[in-house]
Amino acid sequence: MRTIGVLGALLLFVEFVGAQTLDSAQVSAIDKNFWKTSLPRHELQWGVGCPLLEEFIIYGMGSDDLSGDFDRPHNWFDKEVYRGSRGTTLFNWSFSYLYRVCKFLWVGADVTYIGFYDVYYDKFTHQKAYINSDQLLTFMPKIRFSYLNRKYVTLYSGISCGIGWVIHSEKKEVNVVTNWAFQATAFGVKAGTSWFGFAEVGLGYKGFGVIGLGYHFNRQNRQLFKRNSL
Amino acid sequence: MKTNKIYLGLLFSAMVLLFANCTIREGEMAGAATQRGYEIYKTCESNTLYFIDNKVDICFKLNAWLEADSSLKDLLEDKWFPNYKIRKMSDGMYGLYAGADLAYSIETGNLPLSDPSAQWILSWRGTERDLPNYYDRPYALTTSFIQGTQELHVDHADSTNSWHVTIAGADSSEAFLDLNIVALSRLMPQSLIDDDFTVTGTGKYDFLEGKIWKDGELAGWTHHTCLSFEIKEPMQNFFAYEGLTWNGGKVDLEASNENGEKLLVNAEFKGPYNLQITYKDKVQIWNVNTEQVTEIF
Repeated sequence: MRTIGVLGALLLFVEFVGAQTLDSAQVSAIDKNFWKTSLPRHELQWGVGCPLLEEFIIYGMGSDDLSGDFDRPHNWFDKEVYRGSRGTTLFNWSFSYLYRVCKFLWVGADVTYIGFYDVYYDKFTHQKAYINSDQLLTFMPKIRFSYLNRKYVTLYSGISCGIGWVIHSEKKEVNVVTNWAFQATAFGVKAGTSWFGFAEVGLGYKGFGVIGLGYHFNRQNRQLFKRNSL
Repeated sequence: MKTNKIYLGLLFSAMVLLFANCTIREGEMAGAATQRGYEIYKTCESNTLYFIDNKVDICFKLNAWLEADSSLKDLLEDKWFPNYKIRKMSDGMYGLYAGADLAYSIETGNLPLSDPSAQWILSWRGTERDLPNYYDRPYALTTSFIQGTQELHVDHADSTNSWHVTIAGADSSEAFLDLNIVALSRLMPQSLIDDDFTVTGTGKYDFLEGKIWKDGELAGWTHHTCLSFEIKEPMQNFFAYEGLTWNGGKVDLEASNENGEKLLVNAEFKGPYNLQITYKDKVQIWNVNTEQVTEIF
């Protein structure tokens, strides 16, 4: 319910802001290349995403059943432990840079990071035994389509595909697994001027839902845009 | 404009709080204190019964085949040795052939196993195929008898329905088995695993893990674990859903590794399906059917 409420408020906010601005057709009528000077060309984003999907990607659906160790006699001498609650870096952090190639098309890249930490406790003393961690780092070139480009609000979808590294640390032994990484953003909205906020819903290594802040460069023509749009 | 920024800030804060409530995963239970002891016991049980089923019982089946009427021999050969053909190699010597390859040779001394003087020797060439298949079996299979020529001796013990079974690991292996098997249902079973029997004796298994290769040849192993056992009270076989298991008796176990670490386990049946495991001063009763702890002391 809380999620629906927040999304509803977000849409209302989009409509409220959109109603007060010119649409892209009107701007094009003034000058078909006007977007180059009136709309932002460079963008930096910092976002945080829900970490549940990344946990599934790293750990899968497997349980913590000990039966996997039954057939490895040398494991009999390992410290007998059990796992405590799994912690994370709280969010899936993402950093993006995007460049607007034309009015509706952006290209750029995402860098994401999330860490999971499992604390293991001695079965007999219940004291902390060791910590295992999995850290996921991705680099994903990105393409974005913005299908509503207004002065303060942009609606968009996008897709990113790249490479991901899972850095697994177990009992102080570290190994790195490289794999594909992706992010499909079904719906994204950003609102603001030079500084803006954004929210995205999608699937992939940035998480199901992402929110964050961003900054537009080359807003120097803002005044021109304002004057022409009046 | 200023109002819009305030709305944005509020919206952002609300969503941060929303996602901050994500629960990743709860911790797991500590598990049974004797779990590792139970694993060690099951590994001993699994290997001993596997050995009786796959090696010792060859002698009993061949004995039944030798004793059978000629009209039944083909039937018994197909039933008990579906992958082999029995061939007489010389006087009192038989071979089990897989195609043209001799898989097992059995020296009978021209005496049936039921004869008090019987001394049979089952020989085979230990090969890689006897290595444990980790992914098919829940418990590790010993690597004790996979190198060189293996000789299993089956002799009559001091009573008519019991047999003394011995084998020693080849080369530098310290592995061995020295078992007494007593048939309970009949004096001379055709096949041990189709019958009730008890096992007493001692043994030691090797578990070699992690091959080290050098110049394309096996140069060693990264892990070497040993499991010694001494049966204090006869272990009684039982046909459970998952196969042949034990359901009675008492056995002491000692696991050790290449670092000199040792683990001691005592396993004792306290009634049908109820196995008491003593491990690291903890005592728990396991139900061998459900593999769950039912009682803690």
